[in-house]
Amino acid sequence: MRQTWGSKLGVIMAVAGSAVGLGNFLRFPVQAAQNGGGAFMIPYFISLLLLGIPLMWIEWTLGRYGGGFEHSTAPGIFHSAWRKNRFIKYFGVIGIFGPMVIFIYYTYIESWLLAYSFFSLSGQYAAATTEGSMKAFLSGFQGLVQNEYFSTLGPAYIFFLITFSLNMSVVYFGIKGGIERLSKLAMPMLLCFALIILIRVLTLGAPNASHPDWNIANGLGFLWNPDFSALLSAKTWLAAAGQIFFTLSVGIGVILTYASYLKKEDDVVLSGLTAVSTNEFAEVVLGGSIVIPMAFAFFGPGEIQAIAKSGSFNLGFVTMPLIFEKIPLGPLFAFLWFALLFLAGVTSSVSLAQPAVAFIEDEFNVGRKKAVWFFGIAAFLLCQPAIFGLAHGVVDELDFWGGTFSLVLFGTIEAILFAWIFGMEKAWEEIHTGADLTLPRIYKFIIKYVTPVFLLVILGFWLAQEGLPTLLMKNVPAENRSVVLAVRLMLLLIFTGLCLGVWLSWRRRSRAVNKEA
Amino acid sequence: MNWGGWVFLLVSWGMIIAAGVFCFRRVLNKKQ
Repeated sequence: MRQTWGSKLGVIMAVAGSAVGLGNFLRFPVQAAQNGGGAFMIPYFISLLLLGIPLMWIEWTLGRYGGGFEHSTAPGIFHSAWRKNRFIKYFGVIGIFGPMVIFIYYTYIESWLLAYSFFSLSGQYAAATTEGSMKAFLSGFQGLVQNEYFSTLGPAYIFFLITFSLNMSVVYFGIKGGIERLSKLAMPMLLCFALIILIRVLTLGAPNASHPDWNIANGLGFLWNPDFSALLSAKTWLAAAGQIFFTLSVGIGVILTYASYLKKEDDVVLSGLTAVSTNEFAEVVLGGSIVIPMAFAFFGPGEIQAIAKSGSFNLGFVTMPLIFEKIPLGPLFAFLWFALLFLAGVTSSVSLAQPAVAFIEDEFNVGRKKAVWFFGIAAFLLCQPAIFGLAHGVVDELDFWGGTFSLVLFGTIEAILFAWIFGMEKAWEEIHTGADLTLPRIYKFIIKYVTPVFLLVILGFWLAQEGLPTLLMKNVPAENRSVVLAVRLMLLLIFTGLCLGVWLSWRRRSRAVNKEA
Repeated sequence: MNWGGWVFLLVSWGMIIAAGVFCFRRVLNKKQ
């Protein structure tokens, strides 16, 4: 019997849990600060209205539609939407390949958060009091170097095993008993932890008495003071569109899978919008008020530019622990910080595992528990290159193909398929089946013309700016090129294997139909 | 923070919180 969600709130929390991740708290504030501050919110909200929300509705609707044909993943869903085309199901493979590839490295990064939650309470990194020593602690933990903090990769590997097992256990218990139960527990906890940290941040004032101007109000100003000249640059608009794309978890394939467990009469319009608003609250209200204002108040205007440019990981794993060391009850707040990021991570990673598990279940008639074992063993083996090849750029390469290339391409394909092949009249009717809200008619025009064109423009710009240089390995050091090529070969094998799986499954099904006839 | 920063912060927060309240109220009412 096909799985279903236990409640409307459950599916909303699960989709919001999939969307709320590290990017909400670490990527958004850096993007906003570097691209016009408050003025960044203009292209950000325009992208949300024209790209993010329509794509969210497209995925919810297509997913629920495909679920009606007993399909939970993109190959089957795409095939249900365009039956006359024999090849569309192979395009759907991207919707399993992408999340699976992200899962391979994301679980490892997530395990660092679990480890740091533990370290913050045990005082393991308390001796690291400078940026250099905190970076050394992180590098030692990741196994990049042997130093006074870590001599082996052992501790990191143990935390990875715990994290991986936790993820598999959640998926093992299914949609209602595993993912929904986790999301309903983890999402309120996460928001609660973030609110506690937010209150602490807003009451910090000026923590350094010798620099009264290094205060939270000026820290918020660093992030929010508008620089309208940034709006004249295409880079700002692309950064805003990219942030919306990545933050909502659209274009991955996970929302399609989650929505496939809805019933035909379940609403998608209000549910999708509620998941978006939860994600935006976590990103703009919470994410925009924690790291940058705190870093400004402790390191001042001179260093904040360099900190913002140093990237999300540095901000999360180096700058933030250093700051927490300087405030009363620091270990407790550091624990809350890493625990909230871990919860954000785990609700995202289980959603990344589900499409591949659902594919095995649906297309090969395998029971859920067996499918989880099968996926678990394959994913565990595939995680190893990410763990042991971190120094050689394996994670960056996986992130490029799974976390960037697949997303933009898949989002474009599904938007065109929905509006142009499935047909806008049918699509409009399908969106409104069981809907608790009626969409303004302008969205008929937006979904048909604006969203696909917006996506094609992003795809074009992104291919020219990032895609081609990465494809040609322009930024890869010469000594890492053989490893990167090996990763590409591995990814090609995964993709080919999934295509073969689709071919076998459809062949098996057509033979069964012929036999019955 | 200058007044422009406050405007962008308050408008952004206001829109998001209002949307969240609107959505959750309808979802929870429907549930009952």
